[in-house]
Amino acid sequence: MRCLLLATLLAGCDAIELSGVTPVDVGPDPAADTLPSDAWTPATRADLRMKRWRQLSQDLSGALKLQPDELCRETGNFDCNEIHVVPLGGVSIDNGLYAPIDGASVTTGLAIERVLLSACWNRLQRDLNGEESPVVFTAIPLEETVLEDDAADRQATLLWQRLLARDPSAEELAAARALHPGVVADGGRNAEWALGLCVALGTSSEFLFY
Amino acid sequence: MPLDRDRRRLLQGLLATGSLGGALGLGGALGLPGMGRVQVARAEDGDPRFLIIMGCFGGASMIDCFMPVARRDAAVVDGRGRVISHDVVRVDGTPFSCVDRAAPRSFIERHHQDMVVLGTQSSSVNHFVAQARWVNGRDVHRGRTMAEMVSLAHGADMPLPNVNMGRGGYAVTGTDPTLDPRYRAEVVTNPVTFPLSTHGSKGVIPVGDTGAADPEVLGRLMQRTRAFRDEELEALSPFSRTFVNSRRRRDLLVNRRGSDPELEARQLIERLLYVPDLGEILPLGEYGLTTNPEAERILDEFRRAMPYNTSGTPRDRLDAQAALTYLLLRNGASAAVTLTEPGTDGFLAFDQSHQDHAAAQATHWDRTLTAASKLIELLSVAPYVNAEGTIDGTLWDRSMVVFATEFGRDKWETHDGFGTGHHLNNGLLAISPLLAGGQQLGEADPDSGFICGFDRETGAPTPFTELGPGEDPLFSDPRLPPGEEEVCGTLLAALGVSYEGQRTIPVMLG
Repeated sequence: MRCLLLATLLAGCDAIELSGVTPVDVGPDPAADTLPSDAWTPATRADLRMKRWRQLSQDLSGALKLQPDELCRETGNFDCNEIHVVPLGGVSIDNGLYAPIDGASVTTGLAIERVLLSACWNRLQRDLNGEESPVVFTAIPLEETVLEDDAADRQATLLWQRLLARDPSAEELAAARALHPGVVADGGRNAEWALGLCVALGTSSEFLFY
Repeated sequence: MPLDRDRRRLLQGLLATGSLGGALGLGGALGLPGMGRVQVARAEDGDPRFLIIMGCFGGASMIDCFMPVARRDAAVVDGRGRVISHDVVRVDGTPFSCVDRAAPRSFIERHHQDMVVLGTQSSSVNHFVAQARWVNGRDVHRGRTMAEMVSLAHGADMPLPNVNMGRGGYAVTGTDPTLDPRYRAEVVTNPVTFPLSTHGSKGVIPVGDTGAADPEVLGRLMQRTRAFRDEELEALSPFSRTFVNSRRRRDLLVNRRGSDPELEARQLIERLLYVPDLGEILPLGEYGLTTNPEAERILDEFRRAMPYNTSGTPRDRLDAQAALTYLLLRNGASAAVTLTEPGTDGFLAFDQSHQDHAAAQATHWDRTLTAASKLIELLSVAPYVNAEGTIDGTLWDRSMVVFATEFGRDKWETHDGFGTGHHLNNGLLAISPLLAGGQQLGEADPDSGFICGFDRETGAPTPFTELGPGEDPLFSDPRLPPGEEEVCGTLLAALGVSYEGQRTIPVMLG
């Protein structure tokens, strides 16, 4: 009987319902339906680590050409790396937290979005204000609402290169261009399209994990 | 097919806890030991219960608060000194005595009808181990903490069911790998600024008229950005497609679909914020943020919860923790909240007893009792709105505050300004309308300082009658008080949580 029990499990039954316990269910894998027949082979040992606050800061600082203390300050005063230290994978010796939490807390995703939104916005403002030569958002007319495809592709490519260290695929460029009309309809300009793209790339799992 | 890591971890966890048969509903049929069905029952009326744990970091000694030995009765023994004793006052109209100080006396006067003071016997004198055992009942149920169990039972509809502002062993998560991660503790180190972590965009950009500076434009932009990221980028990225099986990546994506939108929809960024706009120091209005309408009332009670430096550190962390605890319960965000007394030095708290026992115990008992009393007062006037939308009593009617006292201290005054080490024998304080309140269970022996146990049905004390001055009971003495398993099992039962093998103390439940 015990062999049968173990065999049943080893055969790979997916969900074991425990009273009062719901297995974590991420829902259908978003990639599953889009994989072509010569499909990507998922890694069997997908042991990823999430960048902690220091790695996140360093990578963003390099990608967006900002000093670490220019990336994110809550209400302009409080260093985001201190405010969100625990969800961003840090420790808090003062509070007796000597080891970082394993993985994501409930607020990790939101904290990351705040950091990225702030960093991308700060870079955008510097490139918009003209006090120095634009560094990141250089390929498009930021304050306008009309965007040519080739300009959009150039700007998108720059962001992919800076944040993900690679060129985007044709499909990715098409998806980025397709974002623009909705942003303008919502009251944004080219600047907001670029801001959204920056935040999306910077909060993607490709940027956050290694 | 080789067993992948996630399934392997699950299988190991189930086997280790003897729950495998229960999980598959096979338990008794297999005749395997320890296999029974796990039940986590909700309270009969389906309404939530709230657990607040006050972690008394360092060891809060009950004979220095609610079970004191009177000076005139304390034994004096050559080579040992005098049993720790105090001027004791009996509070009229209650069954309780306390050390003659304002804070314990006031606490009894205000809350005696909901108080249960009982002797306890810890199983460790290691700080972290003892702390953890008083929040998990010494692995009473699958390695889950009490907060996790209460969150699981009552926090399914809450965005932050289990919040932990504790440290050390009070902040240790449970060890059950099968527990839905939603019920693990959300660690909060700064109650002042934590609300800012509950929204992905609000308050990030100074408010203006153009583009993303317009909060409405920003809100729509973030929705569109997230949809683009989650539905397009993640699907097209070669990295994401390669590492689609990563558990850590999937945890983040699950939160993005579930808890993140819930946190934002409830506007917790403002509902949990109790600090007002402070101009240049904290320009909330400039960033489109407002504070909770009850902020002024909360700060009247917890004056030292305000920040005092550019890191947003509160002047008194315990006050700040209590303020946030109230707001979490008041806004239906949490079912279980853990606080920990950080101490006047921010670290040792009750463990300052090593240097000066009397002063440390007095200071930190007063601090924790005062904070808890204010919190209870706020909860006592906060209406509870049930699922039908009608007011059904108060939040306090369905709450419990547990003083997790960690372990006791040595029982002897050896000289002026004496210090004490750790000791297994102690007591615990629980306050709740859900308990049979107004009871003291056990009493301190003036000949040894040990707190005795009690009859579990009647509450009658079981004193160490034949032991003389200076004679300690053996640790195998059956008259010693209950340990973590019984006490935590009882507290959980009062909170509507049941599990196989649960041990309770009937006299506490009434």
